[in-house]
Amino acid sequence: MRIFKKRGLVALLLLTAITLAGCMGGGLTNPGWTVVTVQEDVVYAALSTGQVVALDAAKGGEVLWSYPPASPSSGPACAIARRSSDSATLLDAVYGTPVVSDGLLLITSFDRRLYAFDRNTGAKQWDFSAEDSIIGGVTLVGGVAYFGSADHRVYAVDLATQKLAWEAPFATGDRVWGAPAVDEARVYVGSMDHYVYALDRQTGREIWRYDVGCSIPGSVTLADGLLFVGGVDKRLHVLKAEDGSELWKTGELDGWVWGEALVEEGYVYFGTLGGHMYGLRVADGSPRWEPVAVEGAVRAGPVSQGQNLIVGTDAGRLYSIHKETGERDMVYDQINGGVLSRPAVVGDRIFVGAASGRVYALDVTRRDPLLWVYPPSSK
Amino acid sequence: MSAQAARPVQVNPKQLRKSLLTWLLIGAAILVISRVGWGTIWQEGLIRPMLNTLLFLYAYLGHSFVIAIAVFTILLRLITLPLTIKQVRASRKMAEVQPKMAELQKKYSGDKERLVQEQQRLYKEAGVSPLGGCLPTLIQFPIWIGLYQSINSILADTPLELMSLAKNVYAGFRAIVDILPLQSHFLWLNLARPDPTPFVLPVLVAGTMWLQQKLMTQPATDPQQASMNQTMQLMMPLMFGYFTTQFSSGLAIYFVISNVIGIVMQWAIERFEGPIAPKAPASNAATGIEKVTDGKKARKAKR
Repeated sequence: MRIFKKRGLVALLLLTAITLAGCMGGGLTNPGWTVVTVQEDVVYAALSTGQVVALDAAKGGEVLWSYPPASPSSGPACAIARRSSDSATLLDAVYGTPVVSDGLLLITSFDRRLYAFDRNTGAKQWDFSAEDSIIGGVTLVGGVAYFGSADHRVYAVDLATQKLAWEAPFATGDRVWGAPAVDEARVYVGSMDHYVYALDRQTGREIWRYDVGCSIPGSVTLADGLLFVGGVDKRLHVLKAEDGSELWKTGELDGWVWGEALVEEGYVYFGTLGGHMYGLRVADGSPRWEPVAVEGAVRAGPVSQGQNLIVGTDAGRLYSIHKETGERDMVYDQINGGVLSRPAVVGDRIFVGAASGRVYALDVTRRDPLLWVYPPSSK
Repeated sequence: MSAQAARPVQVNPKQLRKSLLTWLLIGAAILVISRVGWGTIWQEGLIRPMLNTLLFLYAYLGHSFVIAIAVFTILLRLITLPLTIKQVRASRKMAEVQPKMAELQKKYSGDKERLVQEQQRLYKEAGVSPLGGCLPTLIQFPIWIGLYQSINSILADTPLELMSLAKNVYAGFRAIVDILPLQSHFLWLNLARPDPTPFVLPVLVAGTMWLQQKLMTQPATDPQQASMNQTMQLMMPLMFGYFTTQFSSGLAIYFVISNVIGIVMQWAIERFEGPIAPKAPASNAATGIEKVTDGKKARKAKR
């Protein structure tokens, strides 16, 4: 009897240990958010489950290929599955938007790697390792992939040789979580060390740096010779790309500015984690319309669809906001899991990655906008 | 049996008031939970205060997260000090009544019902609650989980954790702009990630926990109880050592500091209260029970 009690106690303690280790929120796993991009009617998505898929947008999200080929086992919420027998092939968390170029699909991962997949077959072609996790996406210009890493560095990788295009990666003072902005001559990037850097595109040497006074968690946007930088000081900073001097900055808004800004026809549009969308005149920062309240935090920047902005929130809502008037419409409010990444727009269709690991295809012209969901809902 | 039935029911007004107050508090708690919801209570009542306290300590104590955790642990230990003292005293009283308990077990080995009644009476007269010692341990659980979540958000190794930080920082806490990103490196450790060695912190956590438990666990005369104690003394440190290999080293540092404080407190209480004076079975006519005194009184009496 005593031995049974003792064994029971030991079993209970072990069960508690395993349950807590698995479910306390990240000890064994690291869920990312689902990111999407669309090219020639094919939706390329890295799901929060670690799988990469190519879906036929016209055929109801039919799977063209997936990596790894077999579907990952659907386990309990505290997905220890990522470290299961599938772990050799599933990707760790992906946060950056995938990029398609010359037959390749480029994806950055928390597991420190930049992956290159064959965009037609999904076969892994090669990977390049940084020294720490890669959170932001890549920016591809002239056959070179530029990205930042949590190892504080900015990398330039030549796709032809899969080697560094610079003598050495450029080192900032802290983690680089956003994708760089690149023009013909320079690479611009924001770092958690409070600085925005301008680097020589050919050599990776620093041209200037500017202290915005706060960490920069997201990507910088380059447009019309200006850099638009959001920060944890709840402001949007606008710098001159030429010398890094600050043109203007907003007052303190209702939340951190993390998502990319969208710049069009003299106006800049962006959202805050406080749950508002802003439209300001680029020239002086004056508002185009009153801030538009949305339900949930706006983590990712808006995208343009004709006269409207499309923006998702972490509450699983997708909104359409008229660029001129700021008038708000709900596109879809039944997205399972938050929208933390930028949607992709093709004509009237919108493709959204949800934190739940699903891809939603919506058509704004339809009464019921939902075209399809991948993986299909059990309903 | 008949003597038992004839005994008049005595209502102790003090105890009645205590019971009423307890039920009133339970009712109020159920009402609040049903209105506000567990999620909000957890977030607003535990996570946000913890997270912001840690940030405040970091901001004003030299921008060292280890110092922030150390001071935070001391504060938590001070807040829960009355409960800890209560737990230690309960544990000591339990040890004191062990000889009598053994005698009762021998005396009523054939009458389980009577044994339970007598045991309850013994506990009551000694002022001991067999479950009373569990409360501080139970309180520790939400603290551990809350601290784990807070540390992860503050050191934000992933965007989801940073989002959690953004949502949980109090709007008025403007220093956040200056202190982000927090310095997460200490010696060879990235406090947001498990110890890379990966044995130094797990061994420290398991070792200090084992020592603390060894000091806290009072000797039991019941062999079954002694065996259970022994198992717990070994399993708990092993379990927490395993946790340490999986969770952020910041949490492991909390465990180590908390255990060391626990060891010091245990030592101080032992010094203050004196050694345990186990009560020899007395020949009380009815139950064989006499009023149990604590160690300090026993020591005075001895003098």
